[in-house]
Amino acid sequence: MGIQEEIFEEFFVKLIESGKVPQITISELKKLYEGKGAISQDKVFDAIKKGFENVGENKKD
Amino acid sequence: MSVRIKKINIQAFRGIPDLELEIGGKSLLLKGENGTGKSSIVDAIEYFFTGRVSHLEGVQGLSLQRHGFHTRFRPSDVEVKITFDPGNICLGRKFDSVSSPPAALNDYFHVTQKGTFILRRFQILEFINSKPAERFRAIGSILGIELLDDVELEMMRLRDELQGTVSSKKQQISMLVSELSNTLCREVKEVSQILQVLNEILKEADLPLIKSLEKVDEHAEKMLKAVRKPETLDKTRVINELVESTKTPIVSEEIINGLNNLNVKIGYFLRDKARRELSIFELLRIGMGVIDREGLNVCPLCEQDIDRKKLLERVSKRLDTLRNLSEKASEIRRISAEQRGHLEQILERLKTTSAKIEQFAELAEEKKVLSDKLVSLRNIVSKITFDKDIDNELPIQDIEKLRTEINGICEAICKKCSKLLSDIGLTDEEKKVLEIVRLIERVRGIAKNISIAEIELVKYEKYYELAESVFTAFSGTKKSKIQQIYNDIQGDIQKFYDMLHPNEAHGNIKLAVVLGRRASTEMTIESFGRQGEDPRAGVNPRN
Repeated sequence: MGIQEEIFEEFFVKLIESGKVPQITISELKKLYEGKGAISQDKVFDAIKKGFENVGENKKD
Repeated sequence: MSVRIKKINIQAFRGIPDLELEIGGKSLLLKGENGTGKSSIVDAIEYFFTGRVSHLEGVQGLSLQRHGFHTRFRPSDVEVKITFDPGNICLGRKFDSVSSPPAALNDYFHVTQKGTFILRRFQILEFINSKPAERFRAIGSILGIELLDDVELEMMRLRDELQGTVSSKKQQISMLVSELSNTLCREVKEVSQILQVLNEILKEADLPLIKSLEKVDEHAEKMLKAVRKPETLDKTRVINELVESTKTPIVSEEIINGLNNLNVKIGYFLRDKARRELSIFELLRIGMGVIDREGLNVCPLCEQDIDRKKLLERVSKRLDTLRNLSEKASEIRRISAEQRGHLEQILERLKTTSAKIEQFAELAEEKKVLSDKLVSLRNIVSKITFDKDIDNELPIQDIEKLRTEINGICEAICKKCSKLLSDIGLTDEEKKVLEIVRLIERVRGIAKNISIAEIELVKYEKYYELAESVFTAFSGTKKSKIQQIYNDIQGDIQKFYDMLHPNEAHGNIKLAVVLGRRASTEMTIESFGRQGEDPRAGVNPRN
């Protein structure tokens, strides 16, 4: 495993352990990392919005 | 189990006629006089893994085919073979053929084919000579982690922009609450106080009281119906709203002041950026090194006497200013988001006004002018979107001109609507009711905007919180991982240095990721009893 892969792996573990970031956002960020495109500001924001919307919907339920 | 190199065989390659190196899975240190073939061994390893020799590329007249083989041999004699453990797997590469690695070595070859295993002398020198931010990039390029820097930057930009949006929403709410107090001519601190204050006003005017804020529209309509005929009721109400929404300047002076302040910051930033691009940073850094190292008390350029200590302090301060450029960019992005938020609110108000005047033929000319101004304002807003680099100042003169035009057209709409209202012919009782209805509608509009802004604020605060968590986690992980690498290699660097310079008074080499900066590496060395010296201070063209 390269350093880049190690950093991303630890980053995702850190996000999960922090308990502050919704699972959906973490999954979306993982998809971005595993995809071929660049990880841009807009794409990270989309991942955050998806996580937030999901938390909102869960609260409604 | 990790893959290790057991043996390297090189035939007819570069300056090597024939060589066998038994490494036995250990580290290999190459030391020798110039021209003894150290670089050829590195070239052979690069060639074996990548099929290329990078320093023979991109220069006219140089090529692997022409310069890759030893002068006493033919190109077809070239062969580099490496034997790996575990498994004693021997693979080779010639100019016309290459062995395929077995599946067990796929991951290993996937990494080595990128060529990031090669660390040349020029890379080490470049690393030592770089300023902290460039050192970070230099090691990033050696380790193959440039992508991480880009990702971190994008995450940081998102966080800055969301912070600006949160701040803009808070200001918007505070401005709306203060507008509420001004409209009602009474101090109001929150939306829940509105009903009580409105009822006080209605009671003073001897009009029926409102039971709840949700029914405020219904109540206003009942009051109007009581005094006006239904056919003119809608028209009266819309004109009334238009008078209300255009009687104060839509683009306030505060907006222009805010944009001016932003522009001043952009101006400073661009001038600093230009200075950096003109390599003043490098000039200062090199000059500082020369004055310090040579212990000069006279300027080497103008030969005037200098106060060395004072001059070095001033240069060091200036270098810090240049390093702070990236923090300034963050601040500009945050303020830009705030200002953009204000202008977007104005755009919304103008769009509503434009839709309302549609039904009045008397306002056709104003409608056309207002549509043009909306387009111009949208263009201005798009110029305050700093998604990427900050390259231009804001067109402040155009914005000020647009402000005068927008406020002018609104004033014209207000005048025409007031005339339309007076042409309808209202009794004193109707005027009183209309005045109160206008007040209620205005208050209702402000309350609605506060409520929307509060919902948006909660949402953006959460977005910002998440963006901050994501950025902090990523940046922290990256820094700690790179620091681990530094910890691993600084002992090796020290040993290597001691071996090269056994009798010199240097030691205790340390590499540290600079906390509080996004991408910066400090390198220090103990030199002649002085602790924590930057090794750049001791570099000159001779060593």
